[in-house]
Amino acid sequence: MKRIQRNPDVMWREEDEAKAQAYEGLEQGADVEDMGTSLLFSDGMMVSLNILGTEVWKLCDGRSVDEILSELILQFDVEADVLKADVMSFLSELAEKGFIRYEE
Amino acid sequence: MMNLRELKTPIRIYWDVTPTTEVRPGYQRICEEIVGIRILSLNLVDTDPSISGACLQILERLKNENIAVSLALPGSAINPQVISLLHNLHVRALFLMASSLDELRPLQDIWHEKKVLLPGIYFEVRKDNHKTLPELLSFCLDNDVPYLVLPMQRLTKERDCFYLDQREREELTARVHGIGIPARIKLIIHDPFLWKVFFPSVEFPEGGCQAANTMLYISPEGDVYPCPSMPVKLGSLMEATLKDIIFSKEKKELREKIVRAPAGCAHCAELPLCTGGCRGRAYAANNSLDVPDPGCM
Repeated sequence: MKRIQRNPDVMWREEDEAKAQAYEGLEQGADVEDMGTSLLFSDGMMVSLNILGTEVWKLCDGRSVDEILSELILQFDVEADVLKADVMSFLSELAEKGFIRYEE
Repeated sequence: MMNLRELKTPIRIYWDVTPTTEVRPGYQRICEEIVGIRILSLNLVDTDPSISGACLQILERLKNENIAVSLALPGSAINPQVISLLHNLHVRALFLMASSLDELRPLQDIWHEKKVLLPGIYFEVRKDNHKTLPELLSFCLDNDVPYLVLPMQRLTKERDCFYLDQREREELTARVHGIGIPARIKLIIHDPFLWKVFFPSVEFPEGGCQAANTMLYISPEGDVYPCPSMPVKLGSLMEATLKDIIFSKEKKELREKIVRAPAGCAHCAELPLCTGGCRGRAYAANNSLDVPDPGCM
């Protein structure tokens, strides 16, 4: 089973204020998809992640995709199939940028 | 993933440690502030012929923090013992400062010895050396140099800025194209027009100007600027804390001006691509943020 590990060369931080705003919006049923709550930075490239992206990123600590999905389904009110598609697409984007690694 | 946006606090600091007399209230306090603000990347430049005590003090304080520290040193300061020391101080990237190929050729052994911390090259591009960039790239590829950094010009005191005109850019682009750039070398280029020389079809990764947003610059005297190229002093660490400067009205107002495209670029079709170019260079050359980057002409 492949395990997913964050690239240790990628620096990251959560943006406390933005995170609080996004979670407040989420609780009120607002669309928070475009609200960044964390930043990843590597070799001059910066990307910001929304709530779901941030939670996925934090779970890339040696877990498998299934383990990540099991954790997320508890946190987000979303259909399992939709969640899986979103997470898989996000993980391939991270892998393409070299931000995560798959390990056996 | 989302687009870049305006940040409350920067994620990277460029800090030229030397040459200077001792900065009061001292490196220790500045380091504490850098940690407190959760800076992700600290880029140190130490021009001391041997590594300076100030630099070692900073590295020692930050070695166990969650900050990627890079360090540029002159060739005279880099030897196996220093490389080993810097590795133990958790320096993520080491750069050898040079402004000509003649300085680099006698140092080739550094890359052949395959040390734990293989230095990249930090090459300050100027009018008198820009034509050697293709040869420099070839040198890097031949010697497996991991990084080539073309740093931001230091224009906070010296305003004699460098830029390429269109003919020079086209000539360089053609010569670089003939070499090709494999993925194994990382190029860090801060000048958006120089970036286009190396990567004509790739969007500039920084997006628009990041001065006073994702980045800040600390001069050897402890003065804080939006970036190394923009001569607008935001404050002094002798008189204020880094946090106070970051949250100051001056910094906020300056950033609001930087975010607006220069008035002089308003009718330019290229504006969405270059977003005004290097705003620091434009300011250094004209004392105004409303004029185009001279490198764009």
